[in-house]
Amino acid sequence: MTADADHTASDGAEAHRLVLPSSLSIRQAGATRELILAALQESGVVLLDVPDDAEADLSFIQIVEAARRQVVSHGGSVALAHPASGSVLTTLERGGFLHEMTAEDQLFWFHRKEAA
Amino acid sequence: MTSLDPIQVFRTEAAELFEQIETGLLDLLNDLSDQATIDAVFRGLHTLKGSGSMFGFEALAAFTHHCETAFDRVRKGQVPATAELVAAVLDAQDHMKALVSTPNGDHEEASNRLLAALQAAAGEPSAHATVVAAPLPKAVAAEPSKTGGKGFRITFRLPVNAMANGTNPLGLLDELQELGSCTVKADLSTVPTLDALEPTDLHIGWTLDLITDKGRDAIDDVFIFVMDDMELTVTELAPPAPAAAQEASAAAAPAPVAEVAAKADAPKAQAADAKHGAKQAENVRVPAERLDELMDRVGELVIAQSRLSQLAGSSADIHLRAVSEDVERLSGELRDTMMVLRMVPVGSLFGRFRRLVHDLARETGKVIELETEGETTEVDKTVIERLADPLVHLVRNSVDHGLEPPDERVASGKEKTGRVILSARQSGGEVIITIKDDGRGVNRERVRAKAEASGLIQPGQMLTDQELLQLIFQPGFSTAAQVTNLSGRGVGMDVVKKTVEALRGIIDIRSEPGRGSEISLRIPLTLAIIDGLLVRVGSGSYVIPLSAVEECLELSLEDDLRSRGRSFISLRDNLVPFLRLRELFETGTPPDRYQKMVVISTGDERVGLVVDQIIGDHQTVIKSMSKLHHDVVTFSGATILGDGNVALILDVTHLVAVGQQQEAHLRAAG
Repeated sequence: MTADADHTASDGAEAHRLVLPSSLSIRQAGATRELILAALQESGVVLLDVPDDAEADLSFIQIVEAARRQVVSHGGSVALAHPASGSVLTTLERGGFLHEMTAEDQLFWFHRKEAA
Repeated sequence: MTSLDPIQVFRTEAAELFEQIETGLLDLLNDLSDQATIDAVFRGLHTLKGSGSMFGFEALAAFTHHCETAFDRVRKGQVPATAELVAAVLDAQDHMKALVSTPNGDHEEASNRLLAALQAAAGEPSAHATVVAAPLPKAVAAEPSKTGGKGFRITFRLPVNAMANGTNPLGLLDELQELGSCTVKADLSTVPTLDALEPTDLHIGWTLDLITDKGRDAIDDVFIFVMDDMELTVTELAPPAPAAAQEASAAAAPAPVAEVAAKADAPKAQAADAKHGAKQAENVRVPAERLDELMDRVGELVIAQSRLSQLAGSSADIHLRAVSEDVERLSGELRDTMMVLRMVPVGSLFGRFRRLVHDLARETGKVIELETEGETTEVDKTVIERLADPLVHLVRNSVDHGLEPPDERVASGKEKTGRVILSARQSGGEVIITIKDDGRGVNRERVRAKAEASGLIQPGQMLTDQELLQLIFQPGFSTAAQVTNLSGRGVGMDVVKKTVEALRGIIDIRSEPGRGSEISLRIPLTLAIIDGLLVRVGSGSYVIPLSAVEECLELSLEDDLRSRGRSFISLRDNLVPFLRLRELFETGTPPDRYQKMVVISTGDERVGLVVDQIIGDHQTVIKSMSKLHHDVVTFSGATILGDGNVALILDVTHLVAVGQQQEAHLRAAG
């Protein structure tokens, strides 16, 4: 089951696939936040499509985590269109996000249903 | 308000770091085992590398990394600190300066050459011949410790604006992971919802369990840039059982045995930094040009206040007078505060001479010890800037011409080590800087022969010892038998004198054959605003710097007539020459019935200036003469009076010299 289908099913709404730009560093952090916020307001269920060649840094991980808190607080859903890879995965590794990951985090970032 | 250029900010910071590193290196030469100094140099190099990398000076960061590594080995006792290593790092530091000033230049060859020298000096195998722009070490993956080092739990949270200010938290984590075996866990508990998130703020914290043999200092070094504002707790962990050591990284939280907050430990590191001149957090860095702007504004305010005082003085309105007095007092206080802001310790100037003397000793083979005194004496920043080059020349001159080679010193019964003493002290409104050496002294015969040969004096002309010594400040004069790289090109001492005089200063020399020489520079503390004595000559107003005024007398008509033709007055049994400014300035006006004489002095020399009227003291904002008038020697500047008129400021040094010449002529005439 894909994340797309998962979230569409669980929220009962059509997911809005938000294709993000390749530049996801702190320089574009403001724009990235606005894009995701707008998508959440528009649809409530958002699939973040991170390009394979994306250049993401810690600010992007923080924005995604903030978006996850946003949907918990305000309703809706957010998910990654693909499991984390490339610079997103590298940043997660370097930033210590993979240590003692919860099942929920595993599902969100890697689409795995079982905790490691 | 203009925003600061981050590159310029880095360059300013780098200049301070270079000074700090250089001071440490030169201190180290006095005691090669001084661990605090070794640590300070390492810290300076570490900071430079980190800052350079942060601001995009990758070549600098890569090059500095090798120097830092060399000093890290010294720090850990793996190799001893040697004079060769210090010299190699000093040379390398010059190259680092080039990497800062021209980061895109072609530095590869020089980098390789210097690194080869560094490796040789540090006793490293020359494994990497081409190391320029080599990437900094990447993070190593955490792996179970095989070292059996200490365990630390590090919990930290950076300032919320850390990312916006250019700090890369991942880089810090990488550095921590380089220290040993490490597990990292991010703390997301304070990340807000997206609508409340300022996207460049940082709300993530971290907890790391680190096993390292590098010690607590290495952990502190990682946070050196952000230590002041961050939350950091480092807890030493109980040593893992030998059998369990391999599983340390995955183990449950070990029991803390000692908890030390970073802020509590920070003073220790800061104290070491402070010893080497590092800036404390309470300092504010202000661009020099803003101080100059502020000074200009204060100058204009003083002029406006002067006008107000004049208006109030001619008014019967007591309220206006009261306000005027308040404004006068406040503007005076503001001026004094402004002056203090512009003052910088002369030690910032002296510091660079330690390196100069070190290099000169290497070049000449002489053994030289530089002593500095009075480094805390403060002088206007403009004075400091302009004095740098003259002092470099004077120190070079002392080393090159003054100090003898070691064998010659020993043969003449002196110590092998020659001494150069650089000192500063404040005296009234002046700072006196002296450069003294214990060398051979000025060779009078050679000075006379040279002066006669170049036509500066007539053969056999009678000169006092001071007049003879002053000849070395004449243009084109040099007694050096051999022109060297250091001095002796005959283009120095006259330029030194001109520069000092342009600062309204005086240069003086004393020398004793076989015992050494001493050159003193007497410089006014400030160049911007002075207290002046306002006088009238004919219909014009003039300002005499108050610091040069000794006394004021009335020149009676009888005394004036009696002295005519000789222009001398007897002052407490001393004959003092005087100048009639009315005649000097060709005012074409008759003398006032009650003329006044203002006696001014520079050092031991005095001269009287005859004026028509003494108006009173005057806060004088000095304005430079225009380019059209740059060759006018009688005046050092101009100022604007309260009524809007311009008053010229008399050049005291020049007038005293004219008076002394007049005295010399009259004496020669018998």
